[in-house]
Amino acid sequence: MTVPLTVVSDDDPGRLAREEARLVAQIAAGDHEPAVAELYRRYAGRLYGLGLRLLGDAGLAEDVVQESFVRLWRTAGRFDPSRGSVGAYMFVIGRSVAADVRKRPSSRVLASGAEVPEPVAEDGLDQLTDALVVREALDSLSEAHRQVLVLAYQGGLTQSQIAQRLDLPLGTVKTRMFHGLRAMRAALAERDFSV
Amino acid sequence: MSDGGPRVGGSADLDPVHQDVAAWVMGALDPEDRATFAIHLETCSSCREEIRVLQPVRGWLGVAAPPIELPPGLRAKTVQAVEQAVERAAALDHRRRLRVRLLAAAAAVVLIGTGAAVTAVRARDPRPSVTIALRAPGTGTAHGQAVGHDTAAGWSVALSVGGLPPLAEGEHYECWYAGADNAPGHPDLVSAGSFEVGPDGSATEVQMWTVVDLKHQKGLTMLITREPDTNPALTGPLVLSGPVNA
Repeated sequence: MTVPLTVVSDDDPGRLAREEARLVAQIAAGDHEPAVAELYRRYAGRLYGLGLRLLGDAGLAEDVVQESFVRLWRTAGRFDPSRGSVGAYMFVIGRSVAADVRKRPSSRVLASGAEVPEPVAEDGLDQLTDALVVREALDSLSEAHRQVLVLAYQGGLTQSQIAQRLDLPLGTVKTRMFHGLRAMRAALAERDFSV
Repeated sequence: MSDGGPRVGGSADLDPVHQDVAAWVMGALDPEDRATFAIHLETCSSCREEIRVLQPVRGWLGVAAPPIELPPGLRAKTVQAVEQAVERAAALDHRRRLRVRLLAAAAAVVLIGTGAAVTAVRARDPRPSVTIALRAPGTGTAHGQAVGHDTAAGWSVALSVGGLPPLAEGEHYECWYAGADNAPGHPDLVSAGSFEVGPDGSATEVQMWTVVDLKHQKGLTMLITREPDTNPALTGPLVLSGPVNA
């Protein structure tokens, strides 16, 4: 007899949101160091990617990350978890910081000599956000899970080809792909994606 | 195959054929496994439901941004930027509280130093005013002017300066009133407020308030010094000065 699956379900889809709201509350209460470090771990990639895409310069993208966290510290007391997630809040901050950085005279000098991407339109901005958040969700998986998923969706490899590439038993690849895809679903659900 | 078996969460007791649901969704099944799984799907409602649930995940994977590699020193720079903002805010708060205390002290005619130096007696004349010409020490070219008006709430002073050097990060210019006996080691002064200048070294009509009687107190001098942000005492160099009621 074979054993059927349990259809995936999120144990607690609001866990991440509550956890991050607590981190912001911690910053507002003055205990900012551990909370900033943790939120940096979670959101620096998204903010840096946003800065890179919007400003086309690695140095300016770094400024976006730094200034976004300074603004988070300044405004943490005004964050209202009932109005949205920390992820959405960070994105609003990052977008506003990127707009300010773009206005700086020094940014224009830098940008004139750099490969600057086309300005991102409003609907394009939504797509950019989605792409960055999906990347963030993917990066939150274990290396073992991420590896097999990337080789499948990006490399177009079958399970046996992945096993060969990674020098793993086929059964291990099957198990990793199964749990990896489920973990990815949970990671997206935690980030307010409808999956 | 049966749909009535025990539900599982781990992979150890999960039949491999069910696990292939993920590879089916990802399009990563080898041809022979694909054929086997297609047959399995006809009778396994759990797998059909699992496919329905996992299909969107495969869709989202396709839009993932390329991997982002953060610059190595960015974490330290970000932590430092936040720390500096915290320190600046604490220093400004400290200065604000200190200024309130200084003004309160001046109002009570309690002055720094030994004698009755800068006497904070309110003017009795109806709405008098003073004009203070400020000059740089030595051969400096910086200049300024302050115009004070007595009001019901105290002396309102509008200060304008020009030709001052630009400030470094964390510095500011501070305005003081020094009594006739003010001397090194014998301070007789009170802070009147701080300000910054534009890129051209000028500031116009900076508004400050004081309860020191600018009209009648003899021997008063206005001083402008360049100060670091964190120390409330006069520590910086003198950049402008002028007699208040010459």
